[in-house]
Amino acid sequence: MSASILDIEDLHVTFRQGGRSIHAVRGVSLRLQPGEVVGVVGESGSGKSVAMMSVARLLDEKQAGIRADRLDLDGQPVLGLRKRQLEALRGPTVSYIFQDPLSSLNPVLTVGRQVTEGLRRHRGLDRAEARTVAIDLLRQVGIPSPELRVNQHPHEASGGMRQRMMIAMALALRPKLLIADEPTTALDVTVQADIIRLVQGIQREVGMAMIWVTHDLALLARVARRVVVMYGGRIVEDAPSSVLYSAPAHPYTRGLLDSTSRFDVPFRQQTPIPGTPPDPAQRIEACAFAPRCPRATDLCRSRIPPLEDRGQDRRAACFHPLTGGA
Amino acid sequence: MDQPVLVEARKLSVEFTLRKPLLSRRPAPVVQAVRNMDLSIRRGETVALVGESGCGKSTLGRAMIRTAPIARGALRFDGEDITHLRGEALRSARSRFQMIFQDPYSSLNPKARIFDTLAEPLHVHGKTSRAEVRGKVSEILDAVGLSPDFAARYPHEFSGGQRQRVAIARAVILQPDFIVADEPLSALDVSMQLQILKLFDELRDRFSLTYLFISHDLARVFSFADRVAVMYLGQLVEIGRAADITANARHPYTKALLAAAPSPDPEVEATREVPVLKGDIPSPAFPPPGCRFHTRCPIAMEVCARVDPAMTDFGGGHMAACHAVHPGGPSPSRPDPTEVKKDPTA
Amino acid sequence: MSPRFRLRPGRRDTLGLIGATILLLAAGCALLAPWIAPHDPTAVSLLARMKPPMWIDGGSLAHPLGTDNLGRDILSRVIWGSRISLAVGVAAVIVGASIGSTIGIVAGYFGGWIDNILSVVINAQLSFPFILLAIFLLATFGGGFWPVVFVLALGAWVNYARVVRGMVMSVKNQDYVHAAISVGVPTARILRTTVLPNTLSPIVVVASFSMAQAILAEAALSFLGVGVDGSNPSWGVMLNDGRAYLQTAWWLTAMPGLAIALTVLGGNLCGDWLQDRFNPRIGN
Repeated sequence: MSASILDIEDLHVTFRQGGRSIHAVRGVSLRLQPGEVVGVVGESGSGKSVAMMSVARLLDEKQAGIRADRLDLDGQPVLGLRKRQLEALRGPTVSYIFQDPLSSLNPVLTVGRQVTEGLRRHRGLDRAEARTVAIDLLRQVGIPSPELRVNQHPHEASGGMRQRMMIAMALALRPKLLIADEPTTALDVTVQADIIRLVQGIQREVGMAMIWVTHDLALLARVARRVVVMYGGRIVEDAPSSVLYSAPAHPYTRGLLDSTSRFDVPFRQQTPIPGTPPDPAQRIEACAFAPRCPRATDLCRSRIPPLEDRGQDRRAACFHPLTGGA
Repeated sequence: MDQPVLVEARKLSVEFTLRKPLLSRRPAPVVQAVRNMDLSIRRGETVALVGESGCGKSTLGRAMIRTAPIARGALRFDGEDITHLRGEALRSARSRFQMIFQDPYSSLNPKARIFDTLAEPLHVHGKTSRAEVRGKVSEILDAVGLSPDFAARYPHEFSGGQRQRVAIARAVILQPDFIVADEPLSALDVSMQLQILKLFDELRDRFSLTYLFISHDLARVFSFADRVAVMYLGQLVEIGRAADITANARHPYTKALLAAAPSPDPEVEATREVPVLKGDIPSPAFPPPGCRFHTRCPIAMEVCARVDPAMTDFGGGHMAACHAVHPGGPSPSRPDPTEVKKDPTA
Repeated sequence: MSPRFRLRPGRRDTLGLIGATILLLAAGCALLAPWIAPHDPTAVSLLARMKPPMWIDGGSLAHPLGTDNLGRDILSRVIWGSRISLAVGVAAVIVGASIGSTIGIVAGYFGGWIDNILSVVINAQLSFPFILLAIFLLATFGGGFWPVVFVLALGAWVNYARVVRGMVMSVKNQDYVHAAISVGVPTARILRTTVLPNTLSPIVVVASFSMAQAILAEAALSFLGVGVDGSNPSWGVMLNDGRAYLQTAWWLTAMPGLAIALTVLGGNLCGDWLQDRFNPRIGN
């Protein structure tokens, strides 16, 4: 087995909130090879963002309890690390791009300063060097007249430009793993396509591993080689794009595919997933999707289906899969 | 489709005055959020209003239910000029047109039970008998697919999709003729979007509603709408029957919107060329001269930077404003709204 | 408050709970004074003058906290005194909160010149030493329960107005207010049924803090001789009475002083806790 860039085994994340425990992530196992591009898809409350934020321990651990059999980033167990060691990891090993660039950028610092913050800390560049690198990075992410932009503040830029700045920041240290959490959701559709193309281009050039987190399967069709579907804090299906889109195994994946907005199918011919997502405060000892599933049986309502290999590099957690039945 | 026109905006403009920059001598900038808009919607029709942020689609929607100030032009509702309706007359007219907002987390009063939220419109518009109100609330909850027991609960007990159902219930409880739905799907997850869209479809038939359905997701709404109107920086750039827009778009911006939507099929996506528009959307406070789209347009010509093209009629109600597609050379200029006399009603 | 509002022991919550307990105890004293006070608070006994508290030589169980210069039982006086102190505090909070919130809501919702005038008034008031104004007013127009209450409310309303105004300015841009407008709800009703309930939490927080302040201010005014009528045992009056014996009989001032300090602490702890509770939005 080659060295994985990310190796998660049975990850659980529980939040305490006003006397309730919210089980956001309930046993996620995921392994990523260097250079691999994976999409993680799920609805709000599926635990996708929380799971991915646990990777660099970005959650507030006063509220979030993280537990895992293994949580290794580039061969290092993340859970035992101290603050300093974690900081050394964030940037060169793993970087993030979030949905809302405005709240992820510091409003009082110039763009150039923020983009090269990591470089100055990790590589010890001086001011002049950092400025040159910053201009270079901004140019790479398609920001016009970067010589002017480095001295500006985030609020002087449009939404699309800010997201580009975030990308420049995240890529400054050439991380081995880039995690993009809904990076285009806040952007307009015509800008979205441009940003996706940009990130994709850089990923190919640098050869880093990447995780795209989104609620939109259609978006992943273009960017991900492999797609992980999450529901109710668990992975329900994990398969190469080539098989997942044409023949999903899990009924939830099928439902998501049937629900995407698309030009080739009028909405009257689309079938929505009935019902509502599970309450993360509830402990479920059954398939979380069973109440919404057309194939559910008593078995589904009484036991948690294990995530099993189904051939074709596919894993699925379903007692009655649509394809690839054991 | 020979229903009478229900709502009609004529040369409608909405303006906002921005705060003057500190220590600046220049006058406070005025944003023309909606400029010279002509749009009429027939009874029973659904018009999808599509565009990106800052294009003025929400402002137009608000102006059409008289919650955004109309600077110029006229608004007619069911044959009556309501541009200058005020006070009690406006308040009682409001029962006939309603709005549904984007974010179901901020559109419901967190301190009010669902019952009170739904009963409020009834109280305001004269229904006061307890039994009548209670009956109506249960009936409407049922119509939007919620259990009547939900009436006693608070918004925070619900998921986004359920909240949006409540917001829809509030909008239809007075049985209005016209509903402006302002991006009612975009705050929801993909699976909920389709559920809620189906609900809109059901209610359309059940209560004979007329919709102005605002969205940035053309792929989601094209098959739900009878007509599609595309806006860019405060102006209409293309309008027509939904089928004509998707199959035979004329305006390069509409084409870009159509091409930007990804398809849930890796094989299609691997080969599909996505044309990328240059740069970002300009600020609506300082729109470019000439055609407002020319700064990002892949086929912009010299004339586009000077002359703002008027709408060209391609027949069957299909119109687009673009010099490149105007038969026989560049299009004439769009009329300037500031030259139009106030209130040009017949 | 939401039905999911539940107590969970944490450090903050423990402190809040202590604060609430202190306030409840004080309120209990005030309500039950006639039954729990061991003596008549005004009964003079020249034989039992200047008795120290029971844990000091010369003290007795008959007067657990000792007696004053006229032989009146200090414990009974502190218990009865809580009536006046708390009554003044509560009344000042109610009057101040009603005036301040109303003004805050109107200014925040309508904005424009109303708001500008309010800002000037608030800033003027905040820059003026309040206690001076209070002494002047009470000295000119006379003291007593209601005058003190109104003067204290006059000092407190700005706090409510400021907080409520800010809250209303954010609430009025919420879509549920737009929804109410577009349904045709009259403005007065929107303010009452939609805006007000959503500004209640900060009002409660401010009330908790300003209750403590009012009790403190009432004590100060009584101490200065312009407070509630001197014949009633209020904590401030007791402080004033005991001033002359600070060297010889410290318990005359220490006991009411402690009562004031504890009650004020209780109010502040409660306020802190409520602020924490309300700040993160209920639910998700």
